[in-house]
Amino acid sequence: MKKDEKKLKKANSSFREKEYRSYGNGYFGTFGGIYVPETLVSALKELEKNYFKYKKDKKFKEELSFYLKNYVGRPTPLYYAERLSKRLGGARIYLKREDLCHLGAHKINNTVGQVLLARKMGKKFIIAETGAGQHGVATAAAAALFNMNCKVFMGSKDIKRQSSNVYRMKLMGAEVIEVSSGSKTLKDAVNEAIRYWVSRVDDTYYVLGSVVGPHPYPTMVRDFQVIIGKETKKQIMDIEGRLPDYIVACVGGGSNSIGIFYPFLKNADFVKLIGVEAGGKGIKSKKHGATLGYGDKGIFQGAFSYVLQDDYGQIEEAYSIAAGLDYPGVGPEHAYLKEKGIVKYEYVLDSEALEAFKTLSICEGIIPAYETSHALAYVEKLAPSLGKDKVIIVNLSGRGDKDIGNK
Amino acid sequence: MYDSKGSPIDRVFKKLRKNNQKAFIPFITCGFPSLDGFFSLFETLDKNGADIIEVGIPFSDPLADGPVIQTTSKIALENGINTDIVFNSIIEIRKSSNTPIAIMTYFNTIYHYGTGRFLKKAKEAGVNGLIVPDLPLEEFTSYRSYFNRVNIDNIMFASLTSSKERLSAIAAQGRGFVYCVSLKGVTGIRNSINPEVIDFLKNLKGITTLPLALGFGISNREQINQIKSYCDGIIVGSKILTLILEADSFKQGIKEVENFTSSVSDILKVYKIPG
Ligand SMILES: Cc1ncc(COP(=O)(O)O)c(C=O)c1O
Repeated sequence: MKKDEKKLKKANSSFREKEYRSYGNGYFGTFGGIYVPETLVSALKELEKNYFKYKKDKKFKEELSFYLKNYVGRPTPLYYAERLSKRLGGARIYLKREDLCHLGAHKINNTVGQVLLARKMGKKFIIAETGAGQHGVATAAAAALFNMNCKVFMGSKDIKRQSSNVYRMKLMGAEVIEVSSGSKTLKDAVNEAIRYWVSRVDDTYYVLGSVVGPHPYPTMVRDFQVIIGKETKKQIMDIEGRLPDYIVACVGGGSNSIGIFYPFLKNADFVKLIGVEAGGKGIKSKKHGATLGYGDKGIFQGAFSYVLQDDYGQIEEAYSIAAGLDYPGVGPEHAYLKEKGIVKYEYVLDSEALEAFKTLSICEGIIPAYETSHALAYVEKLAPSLGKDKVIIVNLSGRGDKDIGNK
Repeated sequence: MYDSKGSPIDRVFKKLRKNNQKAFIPFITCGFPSLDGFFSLFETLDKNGADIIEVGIPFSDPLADGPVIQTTSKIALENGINTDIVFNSIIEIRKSSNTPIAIMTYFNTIYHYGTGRFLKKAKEAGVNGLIVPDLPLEEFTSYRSYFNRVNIDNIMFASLTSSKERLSAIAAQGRGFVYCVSLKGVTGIRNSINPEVIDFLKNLKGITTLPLALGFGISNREQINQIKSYCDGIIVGSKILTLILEADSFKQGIKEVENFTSSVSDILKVYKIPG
C-alpha cells in the first residue's frame, strides 16, 4: 500500500502531467476549438462563462451531487466479474457498473449536470441529439425532472433500430424529431440540432451528449463524466489496494471513456488506457467507426479532431451495429491523447462485439449495450494473455435492453 | 499588399458607391444541377447584373445551410464535384469573365486540401475572395498568415448575435466586404426581414468602412427595397437555386433566374438621391 502510494505520487508529478497542463481554454494541444458559424459564437461564450462560474459554485455542486446520488443512483458499484475472469482464464476483470445508473447508461451523469446548468442560465427550452437513444432518454428524463420543454433530434435509421428508446423519450414528454438527411444517424442528428440551435440561440440550451462539438462541450461533458473515474480510482484502491493494469472503454464520441480515463491520465505510465472503437464489418470494407484508428485530422461539427473523410475532406459515413458508435467524428481530447500516446485506441468488429454481448449475459447475468460490448470484446482478447495478478477494469457504459431484438 | 485601387472586390464596391448603387451578389453551388448547368447559371447571372458571384464548393455537412443548399450540395457531390474540379471550372470561366468570384466552403474542405495549397490554387484559378462560415475569428487567427501571402479577400461574417467588440475585430480582420447575416438561423428562403437588421447595419456602418453585404433568407423585391439603403450589397442564394430546383426544365429554370436577377439588379442599380 505504502509503496503504491509512493508510486502514485511519483507518477502524479511525472512529465506527462506537465504536458497535460496545456489545457483548459478549449484546446487540447492543437485539437478542439470553436469552428462554428458566427451566430453561435456568443451562445458558446455565454455557455463557457456560465459553466466555469457554476462549476465552482458551492450550491450548484451540492445540487448536482444530490441528484447524482438520489436520482441517478451514484456511486455505481465496481464489480468483480469472477465467472467472466475464470472463463477467460487470465487477468481479474472488474466492471464499473454505469449500466446501473438511472435509465441504464452513463449518459445521465452529463444530462443532469447540463440541464441543471440550463436552468441556472434561465433557458426555457432544451434540445439534444441522440444516436443510440440513450442520450436522448437521459436528456428527456433530466428535462422532465427540472420541468423543461425538450426536443430530441434522431436519425430515422436510429429511430428504427432503437425504437424502445423512442418510446421512452416520448413517455417522458420529449418530442422526437426525425432527421432523414445524410446517413440518417447520429452525425445528421447533430447537424440538425445545431441548425435548430442557430435559429433559437436566445432561449434554447443545447445538451450535447458526448465530448464532441465546439468548446466548451468537450471540457464540460468530460467534467460531468469524470465522476466515473474518480469513483473507480477510490473503489479499486479500496478493493485491491492498488491501481489497475488496464482500463478499457468503448469510444463513440468518447464520453464514457474519457470519464473513466481522466483521473488515471497522470498514471498512464503504468495504467494502460485503451479506447475501443467500432470496427464494424472490417476496416477494409470501409464500413466502420474507427475514427481515431483510421480517420484523418480535420474539422467536423465545431472542432478540430480526427474524422472519417475522403480525399477531398468530405465527411464519410460511419457504420456500426452499435448506434452510439456509428459516428465519423470523435472528441478532440481523444485526438490529443492519441497523438501523445497516452491512450491507445483499438477496434473490434461487429461480430466480436455480438459474441461478447452473449458471453457477459451468460457468465454474469448482465446484458451489456452493443456499444459496451465492444470494450468487452477487446477484454476477451486481452485477458487470457495476462496473469492472474493483473487487473483490468472495463467501463460497463450501459445495459443492453435497448438492443434486444435489433440486428 | 494591394495596390491603391484595392482588390477586384474592393473596386466593385468603390464604383457602385460612387453612383449610390448596390451590389448584387448571387450564390450558386459548383456542379449544380450539373457541371454544364453550373456554367450556364454562372453566365446567366453574369450577364444579368451580378457584381460578384459566390461559388460554393459543396460540403457533405453544411452546418450553416438550410434544406435548399443542403440539396444542391448533395446533388453536386453526387455529380462527382471536388475541389480540383471547382478550381478548373473557375479557370474555364476566367477565359470569358472578369466578374469577381468568392468561393464559399466549409473549413475542412480547405484544411484537408492544405490551407496554403488551397489558397495558392484558388489564386491561380482567379478566385478573389473566400467565405468560410465555420471559421470564426478565434480560429481564423491561426490561419491568417496564409491569407496574407495571397491576394484573396478573407470575407468574414457579422451576426445579429455578435458583440460590439467582436464586430470591431471582424471589421479589422475582414477584407472585401462584411458578410452580414440577416437572421438568426441557417440559409434558406424567408419572406420578411428581421426588424433588428436595420439597427444592426446602422451600427456596423459606424464601426467599419468595409462594404456591408446582407445575406441569408433574402428572396424578394420587398425585402430588398426595405433594406437596400442600409447596406452596400445583397446576397441571394437559396432563392436562385430554388428557381432551378422547382422548374419543369433547366431551360425554364434559367429563364426564371434571368427574370429574377434582372428584376433584382434593377432595384439595386436605380440611382436615387439619398433621403
Ligand atoms: C451505452 C453507451 N455506451 C457508449 C456510448 C458511446 O458514447 P461515448 O463514446 O460518448 O461514451 C453510447 C452512446 O450512445 C452508449 O449509449
